[in-house]
Amino acid sequence: MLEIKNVSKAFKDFTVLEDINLTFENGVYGMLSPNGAGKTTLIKMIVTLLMPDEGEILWNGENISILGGRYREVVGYLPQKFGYYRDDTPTQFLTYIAALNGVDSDVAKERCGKLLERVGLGDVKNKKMKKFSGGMVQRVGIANALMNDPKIVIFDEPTAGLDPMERVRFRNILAELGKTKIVILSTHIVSDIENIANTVVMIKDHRVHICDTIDNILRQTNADNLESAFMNVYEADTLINS
Amino acid sequence: MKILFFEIRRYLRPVTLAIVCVLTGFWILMHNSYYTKSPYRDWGLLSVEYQKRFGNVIDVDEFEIIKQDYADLCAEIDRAFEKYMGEYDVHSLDDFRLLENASFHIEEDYRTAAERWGSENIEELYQKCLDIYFDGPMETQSDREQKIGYFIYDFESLDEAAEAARANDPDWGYDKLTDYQKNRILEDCQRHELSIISVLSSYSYTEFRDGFKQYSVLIYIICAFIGVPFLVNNKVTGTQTIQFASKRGKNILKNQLGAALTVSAIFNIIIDAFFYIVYFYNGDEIHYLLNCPINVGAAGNQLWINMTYFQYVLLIFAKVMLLSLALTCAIFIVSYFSKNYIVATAIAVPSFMLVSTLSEHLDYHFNLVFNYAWEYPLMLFAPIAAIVAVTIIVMRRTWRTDYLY
Amino acid sequence: MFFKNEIRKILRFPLFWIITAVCVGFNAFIITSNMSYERVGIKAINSYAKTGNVPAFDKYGFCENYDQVKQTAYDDYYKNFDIWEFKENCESMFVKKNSEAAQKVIDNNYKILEQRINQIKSNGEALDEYYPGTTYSLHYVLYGNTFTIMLFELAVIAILMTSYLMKYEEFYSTHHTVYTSKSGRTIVFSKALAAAAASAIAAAIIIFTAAAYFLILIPQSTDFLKSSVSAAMATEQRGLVTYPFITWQKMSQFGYLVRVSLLSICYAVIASMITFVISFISKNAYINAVVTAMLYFSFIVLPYVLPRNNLLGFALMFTPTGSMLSVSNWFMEYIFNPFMSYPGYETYVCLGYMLISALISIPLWKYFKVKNID
Repeated sequence: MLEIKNVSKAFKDFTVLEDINLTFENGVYGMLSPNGAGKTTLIKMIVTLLMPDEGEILWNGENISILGGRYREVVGYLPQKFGYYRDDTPTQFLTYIAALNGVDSDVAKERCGKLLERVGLGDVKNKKMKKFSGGMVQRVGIANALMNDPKIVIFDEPTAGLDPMERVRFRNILAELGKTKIVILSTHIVSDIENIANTVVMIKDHRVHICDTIDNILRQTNADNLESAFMNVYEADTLINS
Repeated sequence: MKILFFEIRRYLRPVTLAIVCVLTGFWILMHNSYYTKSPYRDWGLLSVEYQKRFGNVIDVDEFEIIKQDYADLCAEIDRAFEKYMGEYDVHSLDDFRLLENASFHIEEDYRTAAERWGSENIEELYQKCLDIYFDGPMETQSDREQKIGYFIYDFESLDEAAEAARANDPDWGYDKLTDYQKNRILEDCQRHELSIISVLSSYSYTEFRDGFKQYSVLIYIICAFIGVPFLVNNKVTGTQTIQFASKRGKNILKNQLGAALTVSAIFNIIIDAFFYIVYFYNGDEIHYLLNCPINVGAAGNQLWINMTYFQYVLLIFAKVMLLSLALTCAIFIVSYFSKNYIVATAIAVPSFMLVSTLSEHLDYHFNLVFNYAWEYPLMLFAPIAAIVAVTIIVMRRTWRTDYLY
Repeated sequence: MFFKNEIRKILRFPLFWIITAVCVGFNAFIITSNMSYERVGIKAINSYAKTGNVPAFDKYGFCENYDQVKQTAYDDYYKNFDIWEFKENCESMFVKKNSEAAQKVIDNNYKILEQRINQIKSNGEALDEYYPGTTYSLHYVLYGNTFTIMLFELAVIAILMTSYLMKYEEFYSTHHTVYTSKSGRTIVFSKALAAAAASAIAAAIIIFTAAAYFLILIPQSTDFLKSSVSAAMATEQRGLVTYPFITWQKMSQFGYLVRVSLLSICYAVIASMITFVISFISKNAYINAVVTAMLYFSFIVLPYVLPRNNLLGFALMFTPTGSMLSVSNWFMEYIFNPFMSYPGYETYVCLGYMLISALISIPLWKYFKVKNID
């Protein structure tokens, strides 16, 4: 279980997140908020790139900053801007990341092949990534996030650059992962969340505004679909203010 | 270790190796005096000959043998002058020296020579003597005579040096000697021994020091520039986010620093080995001189610590290794904070120049007479300690700070 | 058209100003450490030149025998000076046998030089007032030492800033936007112009501050700045020989300084142009800077290792770096390398390399126009 307890974060005078409380268990969690709401900041705190100013993040009851490598070992992360070495092949790059995550080299080799097949890159696994399209690079990033067989998988804008077929394939992967892992998905593509997320988290005014199942959200916001619910939650507020 | 090898592999790419090879090639072309047999290298051969005859050090009895050798050689040269220049009233080496001084307008000698041969003939006679002495039948003898002359001069200077030390002579730089320094100089001079390596030759320790100085600049350039692109590249490509979010986390910086230091050390050792082999093992048996002590018969050129030539060579290599590793460390830290290649490169340029200058100054700060004992270790270890301290502080702070890129 | 936008990128880059400031400081240090001699002598000579009276503070006796020293200098360096004998001596010391054609060129240059020497002797230039060159070595301090270092500083700044600007779009990932706009890839020419201008600005600042500081350290009289570079009194030791600075045209000290400064700015622009040309084929700013630096370095090394009697070795004598290393011999004869002792050598090298850069950039631009931009 991943718990976020009373976490706050500010950059200089600008408060990004305030008193965030969330609990994640196995399943798919969708983070849906407007730009600048603090989704990426929250994700970066979960993957230990940023430190909370207040509060703590616990993994199975232990603070993740104390756990350090033992915690990051169980985290798989696809960042918004996925960086890679252009002169490496997917196999070389994934092997390198596996080494960073302490995965045994034989296991890494086997897993690398399987993951690249799973994301549809089996026939280009030994080609240099500088020749890849954006979508292909993104798929390498997805494979990268799963390389260490993590218990927590975090995807930040994972389907950017993927064609509809690949998007469907990705959703299937997520659905399968959600059965045994905590999957956190941050995206603007509502349909991605609508089809697979068990729980949706919406951040508003630096705090968690909603953290509930999709059905409950639709009922609460009087909406037919998640997009309308999103508009009701955020635009209604804007209309009232204006 | 696996991650260290991954990182080292990233440094040793074909492009990097190609640039290092081209740069080293330029250096070899520029400093090719060590690979060709220039006449100056033969000065070391006399030292080797004496080492085989007398051992590492010449004492008073052995000096007498050398003086006898010199006298015999001079007599042979005198006979040759008599034979070829007798008709011009030039009979000996002393006459040749007189003509030489006269042609350089040394007043007294000019007057004497003018009286003897006529001022209008001095240049012509001198030129004839030069042809015979340097390029003609006495070429080998003249060469040997000059070299042995230096041995004799240095040996006979020991008493002069002792006298200068007692008198605190400022011309020798002895005006500010402490008692300890004075005693060291007197002890050395009064022993009346001369190290084979003391005499000015192409293989004296000062020649080695000045020769290797050129190559140390190459090492510093490689260490400064080789590491610049890699850390910056991680930031630019975004792979640093992935690395920091992995199990290894920010500890990867330790692997990356280790890789940078390892690669710098490897290049250092290769260039040192290359220079060592070329300088010492070109068939002239110069390795016989390696056990010669530096501080025997050194008079004013003593080092603070008694050491052999080989130990001095190791000292120079160790100094360059330490400074180059410190430079690598400093550039690593700079590259970590640089957001683009140009900033890191711009800082690398003056960094390697500063280190080269420091390295050169260090070479001259080991001298017993002119410098304090603490100068060398302070100048060497203070900057290294500062760089290491900054590296540790930066690494520790990195653990605690947010990664905002 | 986009020059303003492009030059703003460099002028807003803090590193540009930091490097310039560091160079200014370093040059001041170089000048100070080389001019640490007592300047009382210069003050005394100044005073003597203005008033004709030996001042009381002439404790080194520079003024007492000034006229005699000046006359002796004229006799030694001009009156009894045979340029052909001097040329032969230097050739025997420094130069290997040249081909006939090359020798013809050299002899022709020395004919021009001979005429110039006669002119110096007849128009009074040789007897101009100046501080004793063999004592103060002002020409060596300013040009042989400071300007040589400055030219390399300017080259470094030009290479770094041009690399930065040429790869700016790739670095900030705006290349997809910029190169697909209406002006497209032709924006690189605005960048080249901006980089050259920024290099010239840095060069102007550095040269001006160094020259101003140098002149402040000499309590100078304008008469001395007006005096000829070729004055007998200004003669300094040049390497192994002592002989006067025989400029190809009459030049005052001030005029010489201005010419050298302007040409130095041009050499900074050459460095920028060469970097620009290489940027068409380099991957990133670092490789761009390193390759350009290595090219400059090869210009230093190769002339010394290649034989001069082959065409490549000969051509490599006429390189920017070769010219930069002999800045103290600009606009005058250079006895140590008769091929460089050519009226206008340094200017022709400058213009030649600008032309070469421009010519090489044509096929490279054609390549860049169709290159894949990832």
